[in-house]
Amino acid sequence: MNCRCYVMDSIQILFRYFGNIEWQMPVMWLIGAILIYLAIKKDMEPTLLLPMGFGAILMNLPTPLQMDAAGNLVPAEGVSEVLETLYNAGIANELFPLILFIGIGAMIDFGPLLSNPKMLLFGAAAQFGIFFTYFVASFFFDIKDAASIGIIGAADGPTAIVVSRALNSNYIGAITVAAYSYMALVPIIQPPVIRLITTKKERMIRMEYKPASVSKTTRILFPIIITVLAGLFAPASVALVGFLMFGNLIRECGVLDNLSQTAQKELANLVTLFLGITIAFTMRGEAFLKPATLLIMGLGLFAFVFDTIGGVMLGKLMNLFSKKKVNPMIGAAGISAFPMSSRVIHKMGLKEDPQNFLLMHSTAANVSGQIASVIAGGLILGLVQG
Amino acid sequence: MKKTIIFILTIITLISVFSVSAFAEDSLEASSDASIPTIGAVDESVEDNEDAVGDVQLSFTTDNMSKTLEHMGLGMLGVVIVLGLIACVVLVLNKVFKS
Repeated sequence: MNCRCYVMDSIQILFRYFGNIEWQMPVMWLIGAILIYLAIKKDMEPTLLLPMGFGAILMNLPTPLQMDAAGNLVPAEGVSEVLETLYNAGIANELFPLILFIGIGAMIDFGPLLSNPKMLLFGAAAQFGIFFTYFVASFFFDIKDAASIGIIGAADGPTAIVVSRALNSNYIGAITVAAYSYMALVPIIQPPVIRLITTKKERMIRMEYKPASVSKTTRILFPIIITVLAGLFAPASVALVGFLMFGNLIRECGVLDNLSQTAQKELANLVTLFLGITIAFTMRGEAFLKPATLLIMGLGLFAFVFDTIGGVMLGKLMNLFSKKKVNPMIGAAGISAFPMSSRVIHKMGLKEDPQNFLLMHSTAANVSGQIASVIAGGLILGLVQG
Repeated sequence: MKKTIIFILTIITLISVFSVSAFAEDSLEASSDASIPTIGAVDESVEDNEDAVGDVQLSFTTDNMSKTLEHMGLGMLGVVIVLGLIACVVLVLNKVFKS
């Protein structure tokens, strides 16, 4: 009899947490599993989506029980306490995404852009989606959340995290998932939009690539001047631009190769590792599974579509004034999903005309998008925070 | 180079004019008062949550329309001006520091 009671008690203890499972938890496990699947099978931003997927599962398990002062069993913080510590140490103060920017800056070669600075305008035009989405999102969300949602259109995960965190958005988890997912989906999102708004003749426009030589002095002065200009016009973007340009200065100065390699590899990998798992702290089922999340995913897609339209339309506008015709498709590479977007445009060009090589032009537009997106992020912060 | 700088400055000017005329739309102010709840009702008792896992409900409102439209114009204008200036600076740098 006693033995039977002991076994029953043991079984009861073993299964005691099953009663704490709420409906949101299995749904979040499924979402986590989908993110992991997309990362592994589809190779979609695996460095971020895999840790985020695993973190989503981790954050949505029943919490253990602990004894309080009165001797009652109460839910303990469990793993969420650890992730909260990481969150407060690296995301609440925007440290992780900013450090990641040093690595990104060290990876980018601004050479194609410096030899053809006109391409900077494509970066500016392709930020249209950010501001238009902000405007549309403000019909459904308060201004701070709307601005955070609009910044998904920056096609730049760290910028999305920094802006939504600085604006104290309630939807940072959904915004981050949307930003990174759509960045990975650029090859699927952009081509149909481009085909819809361009003619075959426009897509076949050939562009000669005659790069002007860029001096080392220009390459060194460029990140410094950009930082100063950003500081003067959009002070809120200084942290973003400054860290990005610091990374680039390390790359271009020519005397810090070891630091440049470390920033590009070890530093970027280490921060990405923590960033992905830590952002999952914001993916608690009860906060994530809301109609707002679906709306944010929809608005994120909207932002990417209008970024693409903005860039292509500038290309068409340029053709009205310029003798040398521009292939308007390269405008679509003005979003900052680097280097994915430039490759997509290059492939689209080759598909229309196997002798049409647009890679260097689209790369120039693409790196200008990287600068434009962080400046747009800073401007949005400045405008919304007043 | 001269032509490129003129082109960039023309674009900046065009966008400036467009943005300024957009702000002048008085009719926006009239529509900014309308508020039509559609997706759920706003619970007045819910405060803005300071945590990242807040419980916020959706509502459809045009209250912020004029403000966000202004931000949209200023934001785009800002990006174009800053990027246009950077383009001009790079052109000058390329001219001064030839490799």
